[in-house]
Amino acid sequence: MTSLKGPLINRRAAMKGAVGLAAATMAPWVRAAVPPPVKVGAIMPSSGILAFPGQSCVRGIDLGAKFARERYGVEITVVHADTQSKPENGRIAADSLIQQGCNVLIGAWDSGATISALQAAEAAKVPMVVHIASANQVTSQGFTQVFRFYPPAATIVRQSLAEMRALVTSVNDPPKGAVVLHLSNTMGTSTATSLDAAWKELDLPVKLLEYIPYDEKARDLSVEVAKAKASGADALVSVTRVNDAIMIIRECIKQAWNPKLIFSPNGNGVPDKAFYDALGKYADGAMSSNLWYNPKGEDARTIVDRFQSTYANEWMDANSGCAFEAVQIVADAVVRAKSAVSSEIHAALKATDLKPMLMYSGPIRFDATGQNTGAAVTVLQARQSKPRVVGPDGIAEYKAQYPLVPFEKR
Amino acid sequence: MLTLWGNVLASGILMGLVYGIIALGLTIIFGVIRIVNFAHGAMVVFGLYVGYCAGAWWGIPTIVAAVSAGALLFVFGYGLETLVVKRFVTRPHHIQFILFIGISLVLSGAQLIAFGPDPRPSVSHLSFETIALGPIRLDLARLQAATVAAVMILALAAFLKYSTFGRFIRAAADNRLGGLMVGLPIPKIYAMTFGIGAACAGVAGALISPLFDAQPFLAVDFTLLAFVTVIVGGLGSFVGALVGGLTIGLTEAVAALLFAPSLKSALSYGLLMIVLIVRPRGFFGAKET
Repeated sequence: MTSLKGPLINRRAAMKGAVGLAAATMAPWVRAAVPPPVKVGAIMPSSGILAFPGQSCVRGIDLGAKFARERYGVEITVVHADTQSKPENGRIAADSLIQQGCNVLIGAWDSGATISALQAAEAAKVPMVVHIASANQVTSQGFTQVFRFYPPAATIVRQSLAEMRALVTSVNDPPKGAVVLHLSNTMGTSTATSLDAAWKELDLPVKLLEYIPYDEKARDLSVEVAKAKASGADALVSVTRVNDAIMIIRECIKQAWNPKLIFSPNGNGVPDKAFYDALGKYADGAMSSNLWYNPKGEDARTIVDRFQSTYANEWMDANSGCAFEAVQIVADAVVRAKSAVSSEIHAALKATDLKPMLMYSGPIRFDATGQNTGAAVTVLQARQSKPRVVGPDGIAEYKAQYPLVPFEKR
Repeated sequence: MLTLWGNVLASGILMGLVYGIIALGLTIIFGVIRIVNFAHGAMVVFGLYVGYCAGAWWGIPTIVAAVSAGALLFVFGYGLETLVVKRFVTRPHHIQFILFIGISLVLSGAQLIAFGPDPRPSVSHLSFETIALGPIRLDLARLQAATVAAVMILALAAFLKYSTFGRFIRAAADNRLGGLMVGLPIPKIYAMTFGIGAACAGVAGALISPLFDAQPFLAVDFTLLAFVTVIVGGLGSFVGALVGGLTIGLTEAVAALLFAPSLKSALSYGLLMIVLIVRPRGFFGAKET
């Protein structure tokens, strides 16, 4: 009981007060040291025709979130949304995630779905980190909320053709004519257009004979491959998803067509496990240029090993790798923003200057259109049933094999 | 150029026969029970998974997998008709439509749970093999599917024409009420017919497993494909299913060669529209009375 006669504030009370005051004063500092929790919406084609890469991205996002928690101390809650491989569902998924309180979005793998999701992100002023989507339109339509890690088709194709040029000018008996088999969707058409321009610009010493577009849902590519073979080309340039990349190789075998070079700029197939599961020894030799993890990177080996121990039957591929890196970009922005408010994350994303942790790339910086200016491609070749880096030289695991061993001799 | 045309036409014919076998089960069920099985595509995908599992897990040849898929789907179809479908036979078409869409979704969901969404590519050696007839190369997997389609049609036609139960089925298809009045076992006939239709879907699915990656989401594509095929060929006609399939296969092949390959589907649906306008009952469909 407090004495009415004694002093109102004794020494002990003064000490308690001082400690309390100090704690109260320090509290904002303490709060600032721990990045705020952030809710990230991940939009992927987890089901439907693109489920295979979509699921791979989901794995990359989940592992990326765990990794970011450990490295940056950011408490990331990931909310997944599925576009069902339908471009128009991008917007629906983005709207739903924003309604659920997501502060930032990542997605959406397919260019069509990405553009559709960006419309919702733009309306709600929620930043969106595009881990994969190559159509030029993603960053050329004036979206202010877009931050694309992946290079646009034009850049990836130009870099890819520069690598292809280096290869064909350094080998004996280079291919004389090439045929382009490409998807007729947003990504395929955009890549084919870029290919045409870059081919002329780089003056490739291989004649471009014909473009053969085909539908994304094609059940059969026998006629397309027959046309390609009949064109007289000895190099096949393809822009595909995984399923059609498999179909094309199967048809090459069935129709006894042995191109000297199979090269896919910005395509799927070679980087994907399904390609090897389906084709076995026939997969070997095909090449593609993609974003890929740096096999000689400091952290890359640790991350790939961790991925392998988490998902024993899967591979760390371009999809999971880019998704992983996108989560690190978000985590880095949240730490710098010291806030989980979308507008502040947006401002931090604009000022990003991050050394990639996993992927082969220059420093990640976004230009005024939201495009990462450091993005760089690697050249992969299927070797002994695995994608191996054969270029650029600085990170190559193998020397490129040319020409391809004819299918019937394998 | 001649070699190209020869290969493209051969590919179109074989692909058309594959389409025909996919459509066969749908036309059998419609021809007798007068219901359109919108779960047909999901049943084909079931067969596709049987073909995939048989090849990838146990190394069983496709043809053996097709027989197993046929037997499994027959039992499934027979049971489904007995327990569920028979209650809807006399219901309005829109209610039947909802029922079969529901069955299709349940089947696709079950496949999704069991196998996941990833495409399961065939590991059968048939996926890579052809036989050469001079400069023409014939895809062995398609040739096998086309041959089995022809054998199945002949066997079914013989069964319907020469067996007692086959005659019951034809009688029930002609006049259900009349059949009931003369004491035909209509419920059993319908269950058998549904079982046979489902078995055809299963056999087709397993036979095409070297050609298509198994994936639950293919169900809608296969239902649509079967539907277009039987409408062009004539609902309820076996020969119509094959001719419809051939017409679509050839249209797609020639369209891909003459125009852009990406226009293949557009032209086959264009063909469907022309058939619906000029000959709504299809090439071999019976005239409605």
